[in-house]
Amino acid sequence: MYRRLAQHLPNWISEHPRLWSGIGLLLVVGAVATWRLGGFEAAPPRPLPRFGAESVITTNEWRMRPLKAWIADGDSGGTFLMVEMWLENRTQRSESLFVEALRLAEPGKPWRETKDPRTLVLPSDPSRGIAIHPELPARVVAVWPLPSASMDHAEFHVLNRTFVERTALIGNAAWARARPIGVLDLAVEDQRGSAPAKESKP
Amino acid sequence: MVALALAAMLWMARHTASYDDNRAPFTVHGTLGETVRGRDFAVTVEKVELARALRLDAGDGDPPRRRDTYGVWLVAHLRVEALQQPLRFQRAELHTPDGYYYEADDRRVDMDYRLGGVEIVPGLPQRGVVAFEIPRDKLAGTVLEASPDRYRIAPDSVAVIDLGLTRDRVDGLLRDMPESLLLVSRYASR
Repeated sequence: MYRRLAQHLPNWISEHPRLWSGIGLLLVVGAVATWRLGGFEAAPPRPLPRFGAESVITTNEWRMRPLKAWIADGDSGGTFLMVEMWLENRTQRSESLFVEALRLAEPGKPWRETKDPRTLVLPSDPSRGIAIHPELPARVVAVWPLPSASMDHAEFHVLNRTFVERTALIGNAAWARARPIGVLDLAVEDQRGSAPAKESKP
Repeated sequence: MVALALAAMLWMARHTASYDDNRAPFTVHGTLGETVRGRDFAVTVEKVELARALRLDAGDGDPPRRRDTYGVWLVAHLRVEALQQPLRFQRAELHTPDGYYYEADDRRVDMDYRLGGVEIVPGLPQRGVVAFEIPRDKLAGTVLEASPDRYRIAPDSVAVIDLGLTRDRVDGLLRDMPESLLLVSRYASR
């Protein structure tokens, strides 16, 4: 059988059968050893950078400097997690949607299933949402409905989007392709029971 | 042949109009004080003012609410006319020479004070204001873009109005601007 096979091989292989057999055997042994040692498994993901209070976080759309976080009661009921930060719009258009930028991490949930803040408000006037204008940094508060009874620290997925000139679906220009670039970790103060925060309209 | 067809497809994909281009509005141009006519509306920018802050007086006896800014407030006084059917004047942006867009503030300056809060019917033009926050160094050369359509999706016509903001005029306006500008609610009792 081998002779029949050898007839189809180039001369430089068929003339040195033991050499090439040895090389083949080494390759098989090496592959099996690599597999057993986990060499073919996916590499563990690189840990993302971690940010804390007063860190400057820069994405393509925003520059954020988180200041503090606290839990407060809404004036129409419910409990909310508030994160105060300096926020600068790095794009060329006013923007009132703060989406796919900072998402409250929830245990066991991938970042795609976590939530954007319900709204952004001004600390001086939390009764309504606001727009952030280019090159006009503003001190704002991002508001999330509180998922659990209490927390003494909170983690957030920091996401970055890319501006796409033509999206694949309908060919318009849009910010898309969000991906996590870091984790923000903030200590949370419990201010429930003090003066209620006014919940802004979404 | 296949390579030619692929090359042709690639060329077409890159050189046909994009979604945004296909839905771009008709633009009509004008200047401060001039009536600019789109297909379904006409707008005149009668005056432009700057201020460090706005004070909103609801006319209810309470002190006016203050709206500060990290830049300056630009308040444009407009006269808007509906030409074909009732409309709400909802979109106004400042467009700077270096390509920045600043939307009129429709959150901190609510509907009772600005033009977008009232329906305009043909034959009954309305006057009102739109207010913008803008950095001081973006004022020179800025134009106002206005249309009845709220979103950037397929407005029919957009009026592009030169506000006459030359460098000298901007310097003069900044030098003379008041600390605050009072806006009174259209529903304030007189």
